[in-house]
Amino acid sequence: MVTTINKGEFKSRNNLIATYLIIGGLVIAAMMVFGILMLLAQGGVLDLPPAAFYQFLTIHGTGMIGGAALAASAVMWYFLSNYVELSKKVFKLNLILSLIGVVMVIIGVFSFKYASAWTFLYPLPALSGGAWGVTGALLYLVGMLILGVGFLLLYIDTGRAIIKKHGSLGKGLGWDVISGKRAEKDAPSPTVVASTMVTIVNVSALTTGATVLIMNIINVVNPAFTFDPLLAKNLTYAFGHIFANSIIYMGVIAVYEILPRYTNRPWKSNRPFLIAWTMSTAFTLVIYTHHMLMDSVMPKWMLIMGQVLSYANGLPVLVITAYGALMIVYKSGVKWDMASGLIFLSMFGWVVGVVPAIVDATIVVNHVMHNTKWVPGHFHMYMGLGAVVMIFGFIYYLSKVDSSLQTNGLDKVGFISYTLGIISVSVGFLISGALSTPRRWATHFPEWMAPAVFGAIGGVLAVVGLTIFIIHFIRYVKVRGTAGSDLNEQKLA
Amino acid sequence: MSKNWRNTTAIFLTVLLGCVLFYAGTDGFRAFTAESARTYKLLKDKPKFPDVTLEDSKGRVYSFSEFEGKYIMLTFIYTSCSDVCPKLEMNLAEVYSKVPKAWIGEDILFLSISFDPARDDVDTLEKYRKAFESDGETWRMARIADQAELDHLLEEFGVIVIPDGEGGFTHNSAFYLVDRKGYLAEVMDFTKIDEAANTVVTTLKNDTGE
Amino acid sequence: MKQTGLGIILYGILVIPPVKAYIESIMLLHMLVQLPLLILAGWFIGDMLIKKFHPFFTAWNTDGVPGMILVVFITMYWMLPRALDEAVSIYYIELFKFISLPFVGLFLRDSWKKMQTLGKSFIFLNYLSMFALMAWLYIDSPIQICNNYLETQQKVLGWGFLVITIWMILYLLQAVFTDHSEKAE
Repeated sequence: MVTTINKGEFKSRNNLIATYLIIGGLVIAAMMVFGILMLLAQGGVLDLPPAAFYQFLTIHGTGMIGGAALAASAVMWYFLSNYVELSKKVFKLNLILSLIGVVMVIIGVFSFKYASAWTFLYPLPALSGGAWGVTGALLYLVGMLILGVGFLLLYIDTGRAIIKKHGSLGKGLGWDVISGKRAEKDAPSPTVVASTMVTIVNVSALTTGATVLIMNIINVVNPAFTFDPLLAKNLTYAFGHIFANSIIYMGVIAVYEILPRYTNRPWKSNRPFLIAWTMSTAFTLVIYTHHMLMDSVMPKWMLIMGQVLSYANGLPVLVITAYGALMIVYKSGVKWDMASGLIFLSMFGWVVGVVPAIVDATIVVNHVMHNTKWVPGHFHMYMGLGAVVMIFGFIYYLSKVDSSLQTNGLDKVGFISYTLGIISVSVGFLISGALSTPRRWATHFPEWMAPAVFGAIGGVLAVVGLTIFIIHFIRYVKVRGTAGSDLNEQKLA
Repeated sequence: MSKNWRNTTAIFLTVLLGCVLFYAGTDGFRAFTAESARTYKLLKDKPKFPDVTLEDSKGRVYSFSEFEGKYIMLTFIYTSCSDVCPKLEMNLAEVYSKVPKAWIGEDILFLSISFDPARDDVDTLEKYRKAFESDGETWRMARIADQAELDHLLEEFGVIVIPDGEGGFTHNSAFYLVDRKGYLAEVMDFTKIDEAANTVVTTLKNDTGE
Repeated sequence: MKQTGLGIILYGILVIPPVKAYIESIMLLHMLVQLPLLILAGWFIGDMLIKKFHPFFTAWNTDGVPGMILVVFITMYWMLPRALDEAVSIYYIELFKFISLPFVGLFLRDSWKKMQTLGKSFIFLNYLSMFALMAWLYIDSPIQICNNYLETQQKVLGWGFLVITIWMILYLLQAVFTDHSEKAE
């Protein structure tokens, strides 16, 4: 497939991919800085007014999810376009719409003081107690809507392309292989399977998100229209949870594609693999209820389902991927460099990041823990050490196959600095959580401050590491194409 | 692109047309329901309260023009109403309690007007008054016995009353503030007690110059 | 030609005063029967008009996007609670309803076949979330949204929207999970 792509096409595709990744990387780095500032404020080192803290909190969450999703979608698009015919126009359109959305969100948050966190939980956008006005809320909500439109178009396109090539989304998940109608050797590639899953869950999430966003917009414009807050919370988390979750399922495509190239062992979609992905598809759609475990008015069966399935949610794919990764690397004589190292680190981050989540998904624990910093501890490890590391691994992979750029000692320093940094941030959060420190509080009691400061120092290390990654990538963009094309992949093994 | 200029032009034109439709259809993105459109129109038109004849819970009969020189805080109700009206009146009582005593009776009167004159006679109104602990003087309950006068008032103030076929009515509700000369000054959301009380107090403050 | 006649007859039935008055007295029929039927009438009438004015539609609605934009704006306008209310109480809004909606049908017919899968899917998902929102708004609203209709009617309409939404979701599911490979190959 790769060889049929002519060189000009290949170059312009990589151009777009590089733009996505640079924007994603820079956004993530900027958001880390906001994160550090917040931790410093909580640690009593920095004197930040609470209003500014909540604006930072809002932009930090929105930016991290948006930036990571943007970069991860580039990873998915890069590899998926080797198997199915995707529209580059739509890919470009998504970038443009995302940028418009981001600008609106930034203006809403900083110029109009909108600060109800990225979850924009109803009726907060309309109910600020005077902290922000209608304009700020509208800029934020409409900005998010435009971002959502961009991503929705992208996933409609991936869905369309997968159906065109494989017949249906069910076949994209390999259901005919599971049922035995088709041989395992003809199964869709792991990349297609993962992309199908992401398409299904994100089209659902974004359609739900559009409903909730427009609902909030109506409520902001006309507060006399009120809605059921519980249903609003359900829909909001159905959207937010699924969309945030999908980042790792897009990122993992990098694992499926890069490790085989390093080891010369193909990553096959066998039946357990396909079953695992189908299970995770279904679970991801329904387990957002673990965000609602504290809402005692929710139907009990939904909460129990949320708890049980939360244990099960990521596990099928996680286990099958971690096991697969170990098998593929085991005694393969893999050459460890930045790309393969980061990919392997991401698997480690994913595995350990899930553990605190499983603890939190237990209803009894959740009542005590969910509003503490335990939860940020989980998702900083999961996202920071798992999902986005897959993206960084891809960055190093791309620069390796598409240019003659060499990595140097500095990159290794970046690797170590970033890893230690994120571990410190996460551990800082987890300790805070264990001390019952509430999350989302601008000011801390003195006894809560030390872990926050510790986390902030970790954050600085992570930013240093990430900056090194970005510098490497920008250097690549300057000399791009010097090594030819994907054909260079042979040199990896 | 050039051979497709018509299509491109059409895209711009249709978007423009759509925006115009929405702008015109919502009074410039202000009113998305007939009710908000009504309020918006009322505040723009500021109709004068027609000179109707009222009969209050004490059996007194007088014309509305007797109130000239005072602000009037108005609601429209019917006493056999079991859903909105009690809430409306309870909220009105709260607004009443939030207005400084010095102004009440002097600068402002409260008035609940029944649009069901057939059933809401003097005795019924008197019972209703007691239920909400109004004093019958600074907060009066009254009906308009003449159906033509009543219809004219409802029309002027945009109150839509639909009989529900079971002896009740469905109607839109709000607080109305009429100024000293008898013109409508404010229409307020009756569910937002603090906001309404604030508006009343501010209006009076500006007016009495305190 | 046969379709055009059908469209004209349908339109004729809808404007008969007693029919019109009866349909508009019930919120659910007004929104989910009269409005769609007016669109349908326009769709049928479009059979002849599109053929007759083929050059015009080809030139100005080449890719179907301008027509679809009009369709989206006009249908969104008719989803405003206010529009429904005013159609009953203000004569020129009623007139606008009987003119604009057949045009929606006409443009929909011309645009739908010209648009690509991407655009069509996007429009479909758009209406899916809009209808879900309408269902939510009308079922859940604690206040009477339309002055001319009772709250109970409002709720019935909400459930009507919910049924449509569910139906659309089921349609979508069968569309993406049934096999399309025969057609493609």
